[in-house]
Amino acid sequence: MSNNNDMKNVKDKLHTISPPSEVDLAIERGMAKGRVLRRNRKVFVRSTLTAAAIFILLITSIRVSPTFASALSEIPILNKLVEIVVHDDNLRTAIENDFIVPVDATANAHGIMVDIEGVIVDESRLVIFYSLIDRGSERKDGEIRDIMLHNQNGNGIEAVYSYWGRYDFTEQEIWRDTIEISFPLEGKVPETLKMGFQFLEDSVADGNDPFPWELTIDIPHEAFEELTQEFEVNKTIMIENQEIYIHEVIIYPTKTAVVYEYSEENEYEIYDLKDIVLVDGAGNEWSRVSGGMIGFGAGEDGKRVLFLDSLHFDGVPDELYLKGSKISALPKDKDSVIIDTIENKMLSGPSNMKIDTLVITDKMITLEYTLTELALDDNPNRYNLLSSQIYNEKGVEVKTEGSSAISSEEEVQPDSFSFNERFHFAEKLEDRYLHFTFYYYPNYLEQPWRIKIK
Amino acid sequence: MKEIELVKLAQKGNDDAFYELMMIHKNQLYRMALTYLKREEDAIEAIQEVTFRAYKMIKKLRDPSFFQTWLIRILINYCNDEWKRKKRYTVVEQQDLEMRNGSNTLDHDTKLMLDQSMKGLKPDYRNVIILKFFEDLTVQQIADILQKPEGTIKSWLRRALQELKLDLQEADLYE
Repeated sequence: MSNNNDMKNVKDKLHTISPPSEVDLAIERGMAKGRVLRRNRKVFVRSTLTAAAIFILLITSIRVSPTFASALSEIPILNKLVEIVVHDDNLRTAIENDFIVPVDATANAHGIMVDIEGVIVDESRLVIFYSLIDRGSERKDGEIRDIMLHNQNGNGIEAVYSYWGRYDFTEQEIWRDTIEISFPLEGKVPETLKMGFQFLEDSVADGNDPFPWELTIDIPHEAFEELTQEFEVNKTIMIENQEIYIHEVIIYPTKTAVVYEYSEENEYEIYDLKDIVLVDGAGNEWSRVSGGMIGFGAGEDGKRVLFLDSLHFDGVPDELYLKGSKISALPKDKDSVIIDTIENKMLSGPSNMKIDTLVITDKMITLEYTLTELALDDNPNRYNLLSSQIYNEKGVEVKTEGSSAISSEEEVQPDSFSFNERFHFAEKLEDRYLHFTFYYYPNYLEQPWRIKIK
Repeated sequence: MKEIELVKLAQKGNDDAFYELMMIHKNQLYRMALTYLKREEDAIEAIQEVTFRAYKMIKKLRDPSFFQTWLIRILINYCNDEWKRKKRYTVVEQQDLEMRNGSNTLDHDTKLMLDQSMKGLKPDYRNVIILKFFEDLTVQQIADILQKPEGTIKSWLRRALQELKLDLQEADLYE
């Protein structure tokens, strides 16, 4: 376009364009996503695993492809289910490919019906789609306080689970959500799952029955058995003299797992292989999962897991590489936060970390803190940065019984992020100084790398 | 109802008011998204994402009379991010795979002209050209949208015009 007329032509053309009808639908979808986020301000993360750290990603960049959304709008119930998994591309793909298995199980108590509508399951995770329905409950709003998950033998399952727990029947009488249960590498998907629900307001008051809503569902193993594909890698990559050993890549229908390990000789504590992707010969990429469980920290064998999008429904290509260029890390002598439990303050920690509130009780610590001066693309995208591996000044681990994190979508500044993390301790706290370690910190080392998977 | 009243209602959580606001501005948003992103499906996705971000953030909009300015800013931020992302991953999709013959997308010639004009321009220049010449906004409105002083906008416009070898009167520029 090198003259004024061309410019005028383009402008005239642009102004004759009328938006297609999909634009209205896109506006509705955008609002629907916003509503999901508005009501889901809290996520509850619980773990029954002892050693492994858990990594859960805050959902920020939710996307729904418009063509997919319009195809599904014809099917109301599927559309509802898609609406609650908009943060997870892999679950959407699974639903699109009929990978969701309908379940029919309900439980009624205290005027609330819990209805399990379906499951998506493979060896990496079990996602339960449920709804809470008002059947004349006295209190109209509340949240799930606890969920019991037992296997066919009546034992607790070894897993990490997370759920959005809130409902408010004054707004709508059905609240649909998911419970996501992630299994560690050596974990087993139960044959049957016995679930119990406890809500904030009922509960414990009636003493004998801590889980008034109980349901048992059979897990459809035939839906996913033999779909897992494993590729041995056994290669070492180097980034700024830090060694990372890649064990294997496992492709599940709803996720791809990369199993890896850091060398103990490294001078840096590495938190994350920031931009790792799988790439095929044609340049197609499968990147980090966009929400939910994003990985497991080191188990006793030192192995870690991170999750990428699944290639399952795309088909595994002939040529496949793993590559990246950036890791998040802190020097090993600067990788913890020291809290004085008597003075109620932080003694040392990274320079851009500020404690907003610190509440210490006999067996619990709640930390609210803010990281400032972050570059815009440094959004840590996580609920929790602190690991539940906490040590006293003698270097002995102080045992925790679990931790939870609350996200606050409300007050996000462009260059700062706030966190609210709570740790429950097994014993009454005796130590004056506690050393908290990180899962992740937005500080980076860079050097490109690439290895062949097949 | 006046737009400003709708914005106030939407800020209180009224979804109908928010939807109506989006209906008022959808033509311009879609047209601009298409100018930036070229492909219809990308433009639709942009509308969805902009709706989502605006819905999420509307309570933070301090002055309801700036709703349109604010909405356009969200769109431009989104489009610039997309543009960078595409550049980084070199998504090659030169052929227009599913170009429709309807009146809701760009024809081949228009697209080509648009491509050629925007190709060498840096993002700041591209923004001012689109806002000034395709959307007919005033320098002050552009300054509000891009959150820069009017003087900066004028000098960007001048340099962008030089690069495009466009011959326009200064008076046309600074209305």
